[in-house]
Amino acid sequence: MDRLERLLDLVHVLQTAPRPVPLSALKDQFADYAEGSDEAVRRKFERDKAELARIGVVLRYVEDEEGDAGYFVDAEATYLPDLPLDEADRAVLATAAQAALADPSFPHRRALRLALAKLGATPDDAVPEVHLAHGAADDLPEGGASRLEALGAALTARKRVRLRYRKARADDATERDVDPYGLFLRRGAWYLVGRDHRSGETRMFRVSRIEEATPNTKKPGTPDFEVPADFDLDAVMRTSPLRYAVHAPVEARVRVDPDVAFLLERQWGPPDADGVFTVETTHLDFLVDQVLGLGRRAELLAPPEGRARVAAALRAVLEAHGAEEAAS
Amino acid sequence: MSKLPDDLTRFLFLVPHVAQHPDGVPVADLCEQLSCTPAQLRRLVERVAMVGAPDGGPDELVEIYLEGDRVHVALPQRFTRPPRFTVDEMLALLLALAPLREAALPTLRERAGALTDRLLEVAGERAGEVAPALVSRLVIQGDGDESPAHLRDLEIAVRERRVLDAEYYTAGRDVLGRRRLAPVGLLQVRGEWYAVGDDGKTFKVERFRELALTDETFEPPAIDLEAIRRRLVRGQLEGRLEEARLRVGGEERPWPTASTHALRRTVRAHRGAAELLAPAAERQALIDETRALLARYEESR
Repeated sequence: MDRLERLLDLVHVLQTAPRPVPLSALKDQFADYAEGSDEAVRRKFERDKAELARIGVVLRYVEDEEGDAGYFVDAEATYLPDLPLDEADRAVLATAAQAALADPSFPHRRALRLALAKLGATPDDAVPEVHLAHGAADDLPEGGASRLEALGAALTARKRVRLRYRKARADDATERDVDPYGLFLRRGAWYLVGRDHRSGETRMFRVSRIEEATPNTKKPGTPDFEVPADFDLDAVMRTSPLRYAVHAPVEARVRVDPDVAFLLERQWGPPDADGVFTVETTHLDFLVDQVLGLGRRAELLAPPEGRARVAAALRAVLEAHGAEEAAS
Repeated sequence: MSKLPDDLTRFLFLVPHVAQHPDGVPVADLCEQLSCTPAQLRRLVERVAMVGAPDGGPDELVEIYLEGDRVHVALPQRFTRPPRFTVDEMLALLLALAPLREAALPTLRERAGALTDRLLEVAGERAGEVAPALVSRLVIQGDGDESPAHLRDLEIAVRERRVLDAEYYTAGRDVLGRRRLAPVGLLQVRGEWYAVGDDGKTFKVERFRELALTDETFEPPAIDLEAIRRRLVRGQLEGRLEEARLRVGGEERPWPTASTHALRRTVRAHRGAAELLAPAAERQALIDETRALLARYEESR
């Protein structure tokens, strides 16, 4: 008998029988359970039970007052109760689903479609005034969505992954084993956070720069690692690049035009009365990028090394445009 | 080839769902819900047409069949409800709702939070235990750097059709100015919120320096927010500079961009690794501006 048919027959038998069904009775009904030793049959039945548990069918074993013992489908634990959704619920669900389903990189898209169908909901009833778009697909190269899915599966099963990863501005990719602790999507880009066995530290990897992701296939049912109890993905995700541990902390001062200073206050805190922000950073180069982005609206006042980097970047821009001779 | 868990899951949804529709359900609709091809669905229906007690009679079988382009279920037996959510389904719902659950928009946040709690109550045993823990390791962006107060006022303005008095920084022109805004909708793209005005223009919420609700109301025109959202996802903003060309890494290519200021920011960010080739006037403006900036840094401090 086909295993799919056997499992479905088993569910049918165990949910229609008037009383719990012992394994011995199942052996009489199912030819597949009649072959082999008692131990082999029990193992086969336990594998079937585990397979059904994976998709949410709960088989229980009970002994009744008359001493009869056997299995039954716990219908209450297995089947979805009625969940009435009002118009507002449907709109919120549809708004969320539209954004997720429009994003080819969204993990578990198939599961989302089926969950909506189980609820009798569709992505067509969204909140009329609010739309979401993750916009993550643009950041991923060809094959990126399937790599992301593989990473999501490895994360769920806690399996180690071998990555081929190319750092920003690096010519060559490197290989490393990573224990995937978390994945996050921020501002249209996916990131993997995990323990990098090469450095022995927790590192962040932009998924679009992962060229290959090969999960460890040995012992698929056994996790390869534990996620540290103090690991906080939300905190990692919200860490400003200014706080990335690139060097020892330095104090920088940036003067910003009053018209645009409000754009930076949430990141840098309030400026002083002269419109000068004081920013402590462990990643000066990121601050230099921010200042370059602000153009005439900002000037990096300190540290001198930061000023030198801004000046060097500007000279390089002039040089690239054949205008360096008139710069000084 | 379909996997066993997929087929089991599909069957357990298919039978109770189709049984509710006496006229059957179109194959195309089911394929959409079950993420499968018509051929996979037909094979599944053929394979499960004999589900029932192995030693039972024909009236104890689940009766499922295909007729034309519709699937019918005549006898669902006790398969009358779909199973509770699996781990993957619960995780997918939690992830999809996350941006709303954490949004600074109060009404949406409350609704999404309450709905999430109700969904968790009906999750399967394993899904209820595992998915909430997993979702802390799989996070989809919350809001960007927007002021929650501004988002709240915008939400009220959209709902009550009220005009706002706004001070807004237009990055494309590098100008801070005051304007009247009649917002018809809010969009979140890549974690950043945008307000859409009654003229279809978009405004990044983080760039509002001030927002004040007025008593003036407006009648919103028909505006296709979905089309605007698609445009934003593709980065096709108004005033876009289509003819820009850059040489990056020795390769010359078109570089359509949101504005002249965005173009200059891009070139500066490359720190000499990019050359602006066209338009010529913009190239000269970039050189002039860069010289002026450099002069500041060559003064001693």
